[in-house]
Amino acid sequence: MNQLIKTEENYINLFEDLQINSSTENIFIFPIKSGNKIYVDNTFKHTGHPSIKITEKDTELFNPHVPDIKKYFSVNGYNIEIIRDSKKQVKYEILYDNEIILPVLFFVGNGALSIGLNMLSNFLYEKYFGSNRKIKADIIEMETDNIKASRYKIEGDAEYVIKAIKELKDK
Amino acid sequence: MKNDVVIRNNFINELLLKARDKIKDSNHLPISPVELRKEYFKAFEYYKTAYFASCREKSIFSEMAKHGFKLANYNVCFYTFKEDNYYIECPLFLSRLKGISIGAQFEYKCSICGKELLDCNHIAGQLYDNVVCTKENEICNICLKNNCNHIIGETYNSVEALNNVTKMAFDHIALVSNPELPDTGIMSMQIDRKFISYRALFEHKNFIWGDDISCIYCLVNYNF
Repeated sequence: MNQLIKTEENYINLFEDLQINSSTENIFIFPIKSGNKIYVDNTFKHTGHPSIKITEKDTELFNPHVPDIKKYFSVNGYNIEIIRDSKKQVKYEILYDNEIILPVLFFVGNGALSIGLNMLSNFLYEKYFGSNRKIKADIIEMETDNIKASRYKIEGDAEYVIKAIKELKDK
Repeated sequence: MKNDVVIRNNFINELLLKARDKIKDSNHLPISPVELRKEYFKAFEYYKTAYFASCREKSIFSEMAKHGFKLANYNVCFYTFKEDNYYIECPLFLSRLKGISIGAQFEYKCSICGKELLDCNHIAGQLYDNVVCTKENEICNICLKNNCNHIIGETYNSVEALNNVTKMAFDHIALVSNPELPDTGIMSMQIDRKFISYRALFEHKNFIWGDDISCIYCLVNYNF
């Protein structure tokens, strides 16, 4: 079932807690879990999969698509900022599921949003276009120094998600 | 990158071909309806796997359901009775249920530079030149073999970058609607005793627990 859900949420505390400057235009990716603290999780809220309660204290758990997205963006000249503690070990939560659950992407600022959405749709086109696999994209749009954020959850096949991203970009 | 899509689509098409061949062959065989049911069930297994692999493509299910309807008209589909309970083992019915998905925590390293994936710039699947040969756990990073002629410290060209799993720990199993492993799933489902009693009340005059009860799923759900 194809759908696009928009909600308004507050994420400024997340940036303050981690002492990240939320006024700089950039794209941020957070780990699902760092030690026992859950940041922004859309992986385990996915139907059927239970949330992971046990993770080691010195590990950070990431969505498995994070390296692919980071590398695709950097090859095309844009650096995504991945929030991580370099002292902690990186692990990836792999789900043997036919649905592709992309990491939550924080777009801070209008510039980051327009460039980032363009690259994200290109990434999806190159990798998944023509496949029946369902894609779940989770995009959070934050204005610089603004407390309010809009969260868009897009769900559908690659063609639908790309269309929805383009509409989001042109709005 | 497109390879994944092509491989999966080919896999689905192969399964559909096998299922159609099985149905075609069994229709021409001089066999009893009960044996025909067995052959159809084998074909349904292929359909079920293709249905899961295609993220529940409606056309695949309706193709399978048409054959199911044909089989149901022979009146050979019964619930399996074992251990004092009735079970349904039909792949057609079970394909409507959820499949099995495994969750695991992985650690990766790049095969070219040996760094964690977030720290390196090599893209998996692409070829790189001037790669220095290293052997971790006696496995060569050039050919990924145990015993090879590659010399540690020397450089090689056209080496494919891979994401090597160094550690993995399984943490859960979940029932999901679109499993990555399409040939896994629920193989048998126990039927509620109340449902059996209800069916027996209308269909059998002198029903004894353990008697055959036919499955009418394909007849009732003929809405494709």
